[in-house]
Amino acid sequence: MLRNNNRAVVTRMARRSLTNNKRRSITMILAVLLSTFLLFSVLTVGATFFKMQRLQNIRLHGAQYDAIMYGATEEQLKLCRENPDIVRMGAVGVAGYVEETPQDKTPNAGFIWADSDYWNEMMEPAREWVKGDYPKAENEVMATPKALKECGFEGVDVGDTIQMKYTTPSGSEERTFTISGMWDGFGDKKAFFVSEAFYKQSGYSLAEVSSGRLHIEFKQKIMTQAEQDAFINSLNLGKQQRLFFTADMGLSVQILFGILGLVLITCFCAYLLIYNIMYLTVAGNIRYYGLLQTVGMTCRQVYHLMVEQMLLVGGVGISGGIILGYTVSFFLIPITVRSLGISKEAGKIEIAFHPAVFFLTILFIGFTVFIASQKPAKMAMRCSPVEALGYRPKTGAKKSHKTGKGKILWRMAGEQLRKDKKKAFIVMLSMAASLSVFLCMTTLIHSQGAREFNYNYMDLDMVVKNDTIKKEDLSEHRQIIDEKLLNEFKKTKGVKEVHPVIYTEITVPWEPEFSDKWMREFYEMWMTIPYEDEIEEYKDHPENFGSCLVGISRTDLENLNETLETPVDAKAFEKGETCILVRNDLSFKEKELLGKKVTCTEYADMENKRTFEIAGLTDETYYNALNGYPPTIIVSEKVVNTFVENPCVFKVGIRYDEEYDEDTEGRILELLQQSPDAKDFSYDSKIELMEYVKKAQGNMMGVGIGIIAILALIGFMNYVNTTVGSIQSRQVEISVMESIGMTGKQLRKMLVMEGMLYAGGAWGITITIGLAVTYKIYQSVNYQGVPFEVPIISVLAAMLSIAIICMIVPVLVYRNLEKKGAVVERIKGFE
Amino acid sequence: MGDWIVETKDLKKYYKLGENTVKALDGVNFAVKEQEFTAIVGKSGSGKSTLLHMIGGLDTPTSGSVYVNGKNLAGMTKEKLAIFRRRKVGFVFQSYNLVQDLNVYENVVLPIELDGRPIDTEFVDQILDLLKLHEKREALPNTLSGGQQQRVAIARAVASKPAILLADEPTGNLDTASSHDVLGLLKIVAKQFGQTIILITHDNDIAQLADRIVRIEDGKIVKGSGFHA
Repeated sequence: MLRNNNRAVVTRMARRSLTNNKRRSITMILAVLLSTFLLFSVLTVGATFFKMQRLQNIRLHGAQYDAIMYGATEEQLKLCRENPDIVRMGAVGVAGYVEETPQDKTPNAGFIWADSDYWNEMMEPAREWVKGDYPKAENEVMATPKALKECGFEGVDVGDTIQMKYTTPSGSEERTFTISGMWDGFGDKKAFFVSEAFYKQSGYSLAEVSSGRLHIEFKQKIMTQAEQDAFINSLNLGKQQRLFFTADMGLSVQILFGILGLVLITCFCAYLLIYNIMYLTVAGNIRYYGLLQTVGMTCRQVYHLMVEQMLLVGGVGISGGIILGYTVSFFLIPITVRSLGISKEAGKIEIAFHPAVFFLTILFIGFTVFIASQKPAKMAMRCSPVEALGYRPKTGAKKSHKTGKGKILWRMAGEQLRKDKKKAFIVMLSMAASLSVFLCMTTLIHSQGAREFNYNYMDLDMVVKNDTIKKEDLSEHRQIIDEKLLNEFKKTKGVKEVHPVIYTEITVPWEPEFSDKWMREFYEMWMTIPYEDEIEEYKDHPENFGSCLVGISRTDLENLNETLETPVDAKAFEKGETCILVRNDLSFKEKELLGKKVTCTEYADMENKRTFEIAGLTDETYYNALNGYPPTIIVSEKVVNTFVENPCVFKVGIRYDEEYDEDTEGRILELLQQSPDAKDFSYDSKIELMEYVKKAQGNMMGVGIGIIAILALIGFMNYVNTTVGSIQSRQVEISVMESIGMTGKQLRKMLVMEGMLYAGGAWGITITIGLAVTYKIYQSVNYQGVPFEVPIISVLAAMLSIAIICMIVPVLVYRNLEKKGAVVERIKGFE
Repeated sequence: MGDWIVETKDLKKYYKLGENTVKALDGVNFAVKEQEFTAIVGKSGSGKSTLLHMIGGLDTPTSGSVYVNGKNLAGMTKEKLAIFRRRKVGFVFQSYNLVQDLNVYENVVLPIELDGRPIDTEFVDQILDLLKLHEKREALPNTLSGGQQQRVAIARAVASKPAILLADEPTGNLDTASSHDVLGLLKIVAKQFGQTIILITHDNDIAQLADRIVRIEDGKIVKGSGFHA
C-alpha cells in the first residue's frame, strides 16, 4: 500500500489552528515560556545561591578547605600527600602571640605561619586585597590593618618597621619586624603572618595540637558520612588530635538532596502548570477535534495534529523562556537586588552559570510538554465525532448525589471542587507547592540571615573584656572595669542590662579523688609531656598550676542552667555549697564528677581555702578567664566576693533596650575610648559580627528573594489559568443561574467561596506536607546548625495574599464574563 | 391598565450588527391577562424570543416599557431584575438549562434557596409527584432523558410559586410524544397553581393548545396583541 502523504496538511492545519486561535495559543506558549523561564531561573539562581553560600563559608572559615586537622605528624602528612582523593593541603602553625608593643600594653594579636599552598591558594578566595610579599626572613611579617590597630600601629605601611614583644615556647623576646606585606579580607585578621624561618625557631611544631592546623581539600565535593569516617580512621589520630569536616562538606549529601528537592518542587510546579493549561485548552476545544473527525480526519492524524501543535508551542515557548530567563538572571536580578539596596551590603552580584542548565531546562520542559499533552491528546482521539460535537466538560461520573445540607452558596462552591477532585487537587497542590517553596525559602533566608546567628553567649549586644588579665605578670592585672565604669555603662542611654563577671586566681591543690584525675585527663588531652613527669611538682607547688574561680550573677546562673544536662540547685549554688566546672573539652561525663568535691585556695594566700561540691559541667567557654591546667570553677559572685577582697571584673556583658542599636553602641564605645585604660579593653560587638556575616553572605538574600518571586508568579499563573478555564467552561451554568434569579452579588459570593476553599486546601497542604518537606530541606542545608524557625509574619502574609488572590481572581474573571452581554445573550452565545 | 398581568408599551429592541441595525422588536404593544395561556408564534428571527426575554427581565429594551404586575422593569437595576426573576417569573428553556452539578431536587428548589425563603417541601413534593419526578429526585440532570429534564425545568419554574411561566420553545428538543407530555403537564401545573403562561413556539399545532395566539413578524405583532381581545 502506498503511503498517503498527508503530513503537509496536518502541519498546515496545526499552524492555522494556532494562528487562528491566538488567545489559546498565546496562553499555551506563555505556559511553556514561563515554566522554562522558571526552571532556567531557578537552576541559575539556585546555583548562584549555593555558590554564594559556599563563598560565605569560605569567607567565614577564612579559606577554602573541606576539613581541618589539629596537629599533623610527619606520618599523617605523608599519608595525606599519598591520598589520591586529596587535591590540596595547606598547613598553618600558631607561632606565638604578641605580648606588648610600645603603643599598646595589652595587644590582642598573634603570630601564625602559613605554607605556600595555604597562603597562595586556599586563602586566596577569602582575601579582598593583598600588597607586598609573604614574609621570607625571620623578622618580616604580613599584617592586616586590624592586627596593626590591635597593637597600636596605625598609619604604617609595607616596608615600615614595627617593634613587638612576643611570646613563643622558646621564651619572651622583643624584636623589630619589617612589614613585608599587607592584606585584608576574611579570616583571622588579628594575626601577623610570619615566615617559615620564624616558625621553625619558635619552638612550635605542626605535630602539636596547640599549633599545627592542616587544611585539606578533597577532589570530590560530596562525601558520605561513611567516607568521612573512613578518612578519619585512616589517619590514626592521637587522643589530642581532632579532624573536623567543614559544615558544607560534612553535610554535602544532605545539601545535594536539598538542592534536588528544590529543583523537583520547581519542576513539579512547572509540570502542573503546563498540564493544567493543556488539559483545559484541549477540553475546551474538544468540539473542534470532533469536527475534524467528522470531516474525515483519523485518530492518528488528530494525534499528529496535536503533537505538531505541541512542537510549535514547545519550540516557541522554550526559546522565549530561555531568553527571558537569561535576561532576568543576568540583568534584571542584579538590577533588582541593587535597587532593593541589598547589594550595598552584599557586594558584587555574581550569577553562576553552567551550560548544563540550558540542556537540563530544554530536556525537562520538552519532556513535561510531551507528558502533559498526552492525556489531552488521547482525550481528543478517543472522542467520537458525535460526542465531540455535543461535548461539555465532564462533571464527574456520578449519576446522583444526596441533597446537600447547609447554605446553598457554600454547597455550590464546594460542589465545584468536588465534581473534578483531581483538577481541584492539582490547583491546590500547585499553589501549595509555591507556598511551600516560599515557606522553605523564607525560613532558610530568615534563619540563615545575619541576625539569626548566635554570636555570643546569652545573645548579648556587647561584651567588654579586660585585657590586662592576659599578662603573664600577675602584678600587671588591673581592675580596669571598676564600679565607676560599670555605673557609667548602666547609666548610658539605651542600655538595658549590665552583667559583670568577676574572677580571682586560685590554685587547686593535689588530692587523689578529684584534682589528680582531672590533671591526668588534662595532660593526656592537651599536653605533649606525660603527667607523671610533673605530678610531683604539682603536689609540691600547686601555685605553678594556677586556675580561676569565677563569680556569676543569678541571671547568669539561670542562663547557664538552661544549657546544663543537669541544672544545678540555685539555692545551694548561691550559698556557696556547690559549683560548676568548665569541662575544657576533656572527656569527663557528668556522672564521673557530679557529687565530688573540689578544693581551691586563694592564689596569694594558700591558707584561704574553700571546698565546693561539683554540681554541674559546662562546655560554655564564656566564663573562662584564664586557661589553667586545673579546672575553672564557677560559683556565685557572692562567694567570690567573700572569698577575696576586690575580685577583678574580667568581662562585662551588655544588653541594649533595642537589639542592634548603633547609637547605644556608639555611646559605649565612646565611654571606652575616654577611659585612661582605653588600650587595655577589647570587645565583641554583635553589630560588628553581624556586619561581618552579612558581608560574608554576599548576595545570598537577593538570590533567595528572586527564587521566591519566580515561584510565586508561577503559582499565581496556574491559579489564574485554572480559574479562567473553570469559569469559562461554566459560562452557561453561571448564566442559567442568573436567569433563574441568582443575583450578581450572590454569584460573586459563591465564586469568592470557591476561592476560599482553594486557598484553604492550599493552606492545609502547606502546613502539613509543605512544612514537613521544608523542615527536611532546611535540616539538609543547614550549614550553621541554626535552629529551625518559621518566619511567622512573612508566611502569614503569603497565606493571606494567596487567599486574597484566590478570592479576587474569580470575581474579576466573572466581571469579564458579564461584559459579554445580557444573560440571555450569554446563554444563546454558548449553546 | 385593567387586569393585565403583563403589558408592553411601544417596546423596541435594536441591535447593531456591523453597520446595520437589526430591529428585533419594533414598537411592540402587547398584554396578557392573569392565568391566561398565551402562545406567541412567529418564524425564526421574528423577535418572539426577544419579546419573551424582555418580559422575563433577561434583557433590557432599547426603548419602551414592560410592566409585570404593574411594575415597570425598564427602571430596575440588574440586582433587582434578578430578584424579580426568582420571585415573579419561572423560565422553561428549549435546552432545559439545568445546573448540572445539582440533583433534581436541588435544581427545583434553587430559586427558593437563592431567595432565602424556607422551602415548602410539601408543595415541592406535590410538584415532583405531578411531574412524575419523585423517583428521580436525587438523580443528576445528565442521567435524565430530554423529556425528564424538561419536566425538571418546569418543576423548577413552578416551585417558587411565580405569577408567570415563560416557556421558550420548551419542546424544541423533544420528540412528539414527549412534547405532548411536557405541554400537557405544563398546562395542568399552571392551572392547578393559578399561573399565567406565555409560550414561544414556531409550531402552529402546539400553539393551538393556548387560550390565545399572538403572531409576531419582523419585530411587530401582526395578530392578537391582547389589547383588543
